Amino acid sequence: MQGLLKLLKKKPMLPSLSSHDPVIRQVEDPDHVVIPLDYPGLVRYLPTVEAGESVRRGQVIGKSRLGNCTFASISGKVKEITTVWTAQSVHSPAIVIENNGGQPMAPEEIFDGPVRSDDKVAVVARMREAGVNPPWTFSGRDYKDGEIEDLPSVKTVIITGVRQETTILTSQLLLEQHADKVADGLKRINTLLPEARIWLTVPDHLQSLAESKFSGLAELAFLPSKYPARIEREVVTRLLGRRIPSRESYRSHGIAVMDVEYVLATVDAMDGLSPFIQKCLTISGAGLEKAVTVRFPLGSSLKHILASQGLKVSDYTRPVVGGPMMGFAQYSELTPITYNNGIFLIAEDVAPFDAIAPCIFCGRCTRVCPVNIQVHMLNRKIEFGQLESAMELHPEACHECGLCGLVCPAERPIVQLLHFCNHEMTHGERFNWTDGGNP
Amino acid sequence: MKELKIVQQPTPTDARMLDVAVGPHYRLGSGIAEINQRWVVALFPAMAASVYTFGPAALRIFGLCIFFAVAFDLVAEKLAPSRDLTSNWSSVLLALLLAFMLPLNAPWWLMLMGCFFMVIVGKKIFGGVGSYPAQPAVLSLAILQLSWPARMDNTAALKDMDWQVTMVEPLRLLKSMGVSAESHYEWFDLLLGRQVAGTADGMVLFVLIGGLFLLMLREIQWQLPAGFIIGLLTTATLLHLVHPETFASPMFYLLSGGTLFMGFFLLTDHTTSPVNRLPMFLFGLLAGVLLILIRGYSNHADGIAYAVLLVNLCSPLMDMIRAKVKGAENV
Repeated sequence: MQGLLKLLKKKPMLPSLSSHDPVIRQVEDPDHVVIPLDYPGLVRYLPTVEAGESVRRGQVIGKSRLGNCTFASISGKVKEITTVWTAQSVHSPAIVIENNGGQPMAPEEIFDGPVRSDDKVAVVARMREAGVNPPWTFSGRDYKDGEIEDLPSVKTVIITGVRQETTILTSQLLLEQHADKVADGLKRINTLLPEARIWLTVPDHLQSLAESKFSGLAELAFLPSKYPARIEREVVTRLLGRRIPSRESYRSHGIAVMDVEYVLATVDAMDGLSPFIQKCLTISGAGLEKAVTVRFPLGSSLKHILASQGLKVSDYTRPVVGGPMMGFAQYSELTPITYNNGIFLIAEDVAPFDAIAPCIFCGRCTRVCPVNIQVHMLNRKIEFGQLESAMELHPEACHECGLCGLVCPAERPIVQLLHFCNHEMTHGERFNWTDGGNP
Repeated sequence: MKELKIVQQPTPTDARMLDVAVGPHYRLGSGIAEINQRWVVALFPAMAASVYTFGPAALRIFGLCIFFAVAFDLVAEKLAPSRDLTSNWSSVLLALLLAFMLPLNAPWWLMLMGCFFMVIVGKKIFGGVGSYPAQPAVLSLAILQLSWPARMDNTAALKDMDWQVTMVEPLRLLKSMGVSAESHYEWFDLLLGRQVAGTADGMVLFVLIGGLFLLMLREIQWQLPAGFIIGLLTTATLLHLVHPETFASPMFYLLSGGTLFMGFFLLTDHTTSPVNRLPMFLFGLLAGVLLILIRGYSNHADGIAYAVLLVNLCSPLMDMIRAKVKGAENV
């Protein structure tokens, strides 16, 4: 009888985020932090310290070839320089620092005073010194395949006051609680890039606040709380009026997309107050009455962040870094958490996918796809290795929003298949796609 | 750069944590079995009406069909293992769809042959659920109708019923005596299933309830039945206006035989219908037009099987009508 009743019900779209705690809690310094050095496609730091050296919180421990810095987020001794798997499953070199409770560096020791926002060169240099996510925001040059290339100047800045995942609340909490500081940051960006068009995305429920604080400083875009309307690439497309191909970075088209958190960090960096060594993150999911937002030192382990809120990784079947739609499940509780915005905890026995489920061509994936890929056809072709004919269906347009996998009644690994196809196309032996080139 | 020492990641604390995954960590679906169970639930009203009307004879048809279909499915799974498992309920659903269209007095061997053609020839040979080009139940029905036309006679099957209605299939009477046949039937009787048809496909109202249930759960899309009904009514109206002596009124076509059953349960089969919305509508439209043409201009009284099979073959072509992929590169 219960099974019959279950058939009559539709499952809810996503487990709803019933309530959240608006207070951002501070996580204490962990015993050790692991600072990864490689962010593929974005930046690669080279270590400037050696094993055994003592470092202080705020001290530069890695520098990229363009002068971007990464910092010790706690005071301590460099235990070793090794490699780790990051939360995104990237094998990266990393610096391990053991906490010894030493004195942090004072802001005066790190920076020499504030910089003026109309001095563009000084601001970019300061953002690099302060580790504010620089290569994909404002800098004018980037490394690509070992070559320095000049990027087009920034014509559009999109500041995301809403993260695409509905379970990640960092941006909207910061926007709400530090509205004046965000407005200050917007003013500085306006001075810095006078010709640029500046957008700010705001969640629906903060409309009145945003209109009173930010009107005139940025064009506002209000986003509903449903996931499909928040997918970042779709929002950016809507705001720009044109589409950036999924395999190209925004920055190579003169568009800077940055989070509210980085706007706040930019203000701090320009005032010479602090480098970017702490990050906010929302913990939500099973076993939590309210979603909790915490601020943690970069490089803390998953275990440490959860333990600070009284949670144990072993209580869950799958801790996911990121949100439920595009996050990565972790197999180790020692994964260092760095530029991640959320942790989503899953307690029940969820199968990620059914590897042998046949596709029945119901076409829900195709109807839900935001970029109109014929997913039902494509995933079957990939499944049976027909990559040549799969190419005609444009798998490269996929930005892996996960909607197809969400709606698939057979629980097929659709996103994984599409990802595999795109990976084969770019890195595989059979095909070699270059940017805009021929196979 | 300093030489980096590669070390092993610490061993996972728990075997469950080895479950590394990307993509959505939440899924709305829970297996194909659930879809097929929902379809079976949608067939319940018509089944109940049929059992209420015909008694144990209807139960015998449903039971034997399910038994044979599942048995064939199990044998096929044993001999040629594939990913189409018996546990996904697809053979149960197909068996019920076939049983709906069989005459009430079908002998056991007819059902055995029907299930063989449906499960083995229609489904398993093509690779199981999701791979067949034509709806297996309809394919099987077409084979049965061609092979044993005398046994597939609904009028003979129901000759012992004492209903106060004309005991001939409405469409067959229309074929033999022209439009005047229409006056022998009340639309109210047709709607409530008091008409000569298969075991349960003539229970028009109850089939409609099941179809609306599927629509409500979004198991099927409204475009397909809507296109079908529009196509059928439009063609029937036009032909009725042009040839009033051979073509009955459109509502007569809609309510007689398994027309609505076809629109809601046979055409909408996931595997054999298009997936995009416009092609779905066109698919339904074409099916409606074809059905009226077959009924009007061929020797078949009720051309459901042939209309469904013909449009099923057009389904891949129709899915070529699709929106342009956004953000596709020219590679």
